[in-house]
Parts: sequence; C-alpha cells; structure tokens
Amino acid sequence: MPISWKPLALGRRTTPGGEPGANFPEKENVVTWGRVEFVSAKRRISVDVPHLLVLSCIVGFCLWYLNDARSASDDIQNLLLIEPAAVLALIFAALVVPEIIVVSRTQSPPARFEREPIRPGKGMKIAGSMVALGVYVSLMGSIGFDVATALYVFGSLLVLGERRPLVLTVVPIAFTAVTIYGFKTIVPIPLPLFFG
Amino acid sequence: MIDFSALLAAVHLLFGSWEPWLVVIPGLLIGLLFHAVPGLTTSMAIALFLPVIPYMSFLSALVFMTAMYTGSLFGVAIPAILLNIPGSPAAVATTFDGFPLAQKGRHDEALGYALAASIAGQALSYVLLLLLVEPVAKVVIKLGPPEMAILSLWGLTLIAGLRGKRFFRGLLAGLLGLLLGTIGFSARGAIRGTMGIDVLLDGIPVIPAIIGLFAAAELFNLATAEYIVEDIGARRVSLRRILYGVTKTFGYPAALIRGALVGAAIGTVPGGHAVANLLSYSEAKRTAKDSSMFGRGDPRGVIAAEAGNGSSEGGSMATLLALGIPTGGATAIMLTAFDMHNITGGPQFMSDHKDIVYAVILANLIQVALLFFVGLAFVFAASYVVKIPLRMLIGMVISLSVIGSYLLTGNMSGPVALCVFSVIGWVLQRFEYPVAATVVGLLLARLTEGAMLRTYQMSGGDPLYLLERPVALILLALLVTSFAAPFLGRKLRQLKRPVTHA
Repeated sequence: MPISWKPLALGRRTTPGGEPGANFPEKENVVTWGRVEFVSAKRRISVDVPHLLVLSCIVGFCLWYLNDARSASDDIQNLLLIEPAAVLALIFAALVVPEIIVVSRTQSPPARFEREPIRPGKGMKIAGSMVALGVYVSLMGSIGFDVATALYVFGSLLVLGERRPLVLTVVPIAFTAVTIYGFKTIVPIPLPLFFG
Repeated sequence: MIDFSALLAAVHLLFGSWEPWLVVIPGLLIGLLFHAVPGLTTSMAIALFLPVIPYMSFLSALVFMTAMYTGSLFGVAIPAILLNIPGSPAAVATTFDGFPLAQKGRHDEALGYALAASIAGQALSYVLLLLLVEPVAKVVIKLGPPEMAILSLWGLTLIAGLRGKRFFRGLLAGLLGLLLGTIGFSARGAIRGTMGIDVLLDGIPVIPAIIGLFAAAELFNLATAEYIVEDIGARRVSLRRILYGVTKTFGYPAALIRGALVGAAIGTVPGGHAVANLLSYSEAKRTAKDSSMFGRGDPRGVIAAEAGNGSSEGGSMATLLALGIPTGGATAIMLTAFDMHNITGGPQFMSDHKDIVYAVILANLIQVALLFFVGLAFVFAASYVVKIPLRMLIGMVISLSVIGSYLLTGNMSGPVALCVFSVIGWVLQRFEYPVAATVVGLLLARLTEGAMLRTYQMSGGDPLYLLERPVALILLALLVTSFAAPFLGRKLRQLKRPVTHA
C-alpha cells in the first residue's frame, strides 16, 4: 500500500478536509503547525511532532532518573517513592500517546491538535524574554547583580516594545538602586555587586 | 478546658503594660512586607530582628514574633493574587483562583476574599487553641511518620483534582514534579539525579522552581499584553470592591469553615504548614456541588486556601507552646526567643507559664483583628500594581524574583532553577500539562518520601503495622471518605431520584 508523507508547514491553516487555504469562521481556525500526516488508501496517521518531542523528553527523563537512582542504590528504601512514581509516569505517558499520534480512516477529517496560534510578533517577544532571562542569570555572578539587573530591566523594556529614552534610562537605574539598596539594608546576605 | 484563673492572669499581663502593644503594628507590617516581596521569608524577618529580642520582655518578644508571623500569613497572598507568584509554598493554592480573578479585573475582590479568609481562619484557630491546647498536645505527640505519610498522600491526591482538561497529562505532570522533587541526597545517603552538580545535592531549590514554573512562565505569555487587566475600566483600585470581597467571603461558610478546620489540624504537624493551603483547597473543590469554576477564578478556591493557610498558625502555635516542637522555619526561630530568655517550650512550660500561653493566644486574637485594618491599607496600596504597564512590570518582577531566589539559596542555584523552570513551565503550559500539578508534586516529594521511608523502617516492611496506629487509621479513613464522598453522594442522589415512566 503506498503511503504518502504530507508534512504541514509552520502556520498553515487547514480546513477539516485537510486542504490548505480555505476560508471558514475565525473560531474554527486551528493552526496545527508541525503536524505530520501519513496517508494510505485506508488509514491516515496524524502526528503532533512538537508534542511528541516534549513527551519524549519527559519519558526520557523518567527512564534516565530511574536508572540513575537504581545505580545509586537498588535498596527498596532508596526506590520506595521513585520507582512507583516513575513506572506510573511511564504508564500515563503511554496513555497520552493516542492524543499525539491519531490513527483515523483516510476519509475522516484529519485530527485537530488544537493550540492557540502564536503570532510571529508574540513568538519573538516570548523568545526574547526567555533569552534575556538566561543572559541575565548567566552574567549576574560575573558582572555584579547591580549592573546585570539594570541591563536586564533595560533589555526587557526594549524587547517588550518600550521606546521612550527617558523611561529606558531612568526606570532601570532607579529600580536597581532601590532594589539593591533595599535588599542590602534588610537582608544580611551579601550580594555580589559591581559597585560596592 | 479553660483555666480561668490563668486566663485572668493573662488579661492582667497583657493590659497591665503598654510594652506588648507597641510592637504589634510594626510586627504586622514587617510580616506583610516581607512576604509581599518574592524571595523574602518570615524566617528572614524574624531572624533579622532577633538582636532586639533580649531587650524585650518574653511576652513582648513572643507578641512581636507572632505579629510578624500573622502578617506574613496574609502577605504571601498579595503577590499570589496580583502576579501569580506565591510568596511561599503556603500561598500556592491561592494562585489557582486568585490570579485568574485578578486577570478578570476582580483583583480588589480577590484580595478582599483573601484578607477576610485569612483573618477568619486565624481567629478560628486561636479560639480552638484557647479551648483545646492541652488535649491537642496529647494528640500531636502521637503523630508520627505513618500519619505524615498519609497526610502527604492526601496532599498528592490533589494532583488528581488539578488535572484540568486532560486527565492523563495532569497525572503525568504531577508525577514529573514528584520525581524532580526527589533529586539529590536521599535520607539514606544515596545521590540521585544530580548529574555531578554539587548544588543539586540538597535537591532542586523548591521556591525558585515554583516561582519559575508559575510566575515567569505566565509573565512570558503576558509579553504581548499591555496590562495584567486588559480592560481599562476594570483596572482600578477600589476600597469598596475590596470591602465587597471581605463581606462576600462570609457568603461561603462551607469553604471558609472547612478550610479553616483542615488548616488548623494540619498546622499542628511539622511540615504541615506548607500543605495546609493545598489540602484545604483540595477539600473545597472535591466537596463543592459545582466545581467547574475552580482554577478559573472561583472565590471559594481563594477563600479555602487562605482560610487553611491562616488557621495553620494556630495549629503551629499549639505544637510549639505545648510540645516545644517547631513546625517550620518561623516557629523554629521563635524557639530561639525562648532560649534567649532561658525558657524551654513543652509540657513543663504549659504548666508553669499558663498565663503567658493564654496571653499569647489573646494577643494573637487581637492581632488578627488589627490585621484587618493594617492589611486593608496594605492591600489598597498593593492593588496599584495593576496600573503599571506590563512591559515595565515584567522585567522588574522577574529581576526581583531572581534576586530573591539568590537570597533564599545563598548561591546561584536559586536564579538558575528559576530560569530553567520558567522555560519548563512555559512548555508544559503550552502543551496543556497543568503546571499546578507539577508544583504540588515538587512541594510534597521530600515530605512524602521521608515519611514513607520512616514508616517502612518502623514497620520493617509489614503493612499490618498500620493496625497499631489508630490515628493513622482514622486519617486513612478520612482520606478515603473525602475521596469517595462526592461519588457516593452522587450515587445516592441518583438512587433517590424518582423513576419516571414514559
């Protein structure tokens, strides 16, 4: 039986019949980016690839952690909670698979893996926020909490669309000064700072 | 039940001098402030003011510290509701319905519910403490690892109730949190899942991870919104709406009283304070006739969680005063005040200083009443957060949380955990895995594993050992009943419904 492989491109909208580009009411629009379909004469297999990757990571972690805990010690007292929890997690992961890999008849409408679409602008802001946080945490130990915080607040304002020069200068500096000074006064734990 | 002569002596002690009353309002404000800022804790606040304790009388010192504790119990709810950041594990359940209410523009109302429920819960627990402190001490001393294991399992059943739309994804998310929470040294010295990273030997820092999972992930999603509350008309700060929330709280007596009773009981157990709000929330959801709005802005969720959290203070104080056993970080530091005045808590303290015990209880009842006014003013000021544009708020809140995470752990493991878990939280939310379930698993992992391990060691692996623990059997029966009751109730109602013939 010939099987065709039909990957849908990122962001393409589909009709229930699987044909791209059709018009229908806004509330029914479902963007199913990353969906891959295998179609034969009788069967259609729809796979939600991004979700499958996430589930694979969760399953991979559970297996790795169980193995690591067993190698540390296979005494029941070490595995009392970990082993049952890991086994149950694997069982439930198997039960989630039918939601990700959907087998249907070729004539049936393709599976709808519904997620709210991320518009390109929003995606950039979300990704930018994550990257900014990662850079902030990586640098704060080396350049000091004060400089890193001011740069992070500045960067965050920029990523999220603030363009007023006064706000971009005053807010990061004022916030950093108040926060760092406040924490220094209240809490006896020293913070690594560039100034002082 | 009440020793009236000691009670009269307590009244004389309290009202015979101005000194105890000078420290109540500062204590409440410090407690509120410390827990309204993510990363600061009650333990830090109490430890910070330890140097002044020797200069106060013992009663004034206790009143000051309990005032901080009282303020903090409500303070944690403020960032939980306004920013989805639980100020401590004690406010995790408050975020489930508090933040959705804030997003709908009902932030003032939600803060009103939280304030009233916290006050009512604390007041109820102190009244119970006044009546029952001696019998409670006799029961608490019998609680051991088997009872803690059952209480932890009860908390874990909350995961099943937090499944959201996807049942198996909810359970999987909870088990993921449970496994993550066991990373590090086991009680027997085995090292699990650290990947050679030394800072993970003590486990993943829980509070920074929770802030990352809840708050940072949510804030990423809000990156394109202008304000927490989109509707400009709803983006107001209204004392009238806060008071509306306060008065409407008493229209949900079942959620309020049940939450308070569960919290007071759980608070007596070491470690129970962190799960009191979760169990109160779980019971409110499980026993509600219509639980469809839980997790989407149901006032009963906020009320039950805060009543449970507030009332756990009375339970904790019972154990501290009657047995000299701290139930958490804050009560552990309070014990230091006992040491500074050469006093040891416990049964001897109860019999020799009954007037001080009653004085502390009465002072707390008055503190709780004062919290209403102090809390109201604080909440009114805090509500202005919704007027700050998100593009300013996001960076400031996240950096505050990151610095707070560093202060909690004393090293970079806190900020790194927050960063890593913020990405994990965003991914889980994106694919409809309930993050709240992961948080519950993370919170309860160590407690559950420790209790199960000690139970196993005590019983030698013999399950019939439970038959020798009547309190454990009662708790197990309560757990099964609370789980089965809604299903049985529905079945009974179906059976009682008259059969109609066509």
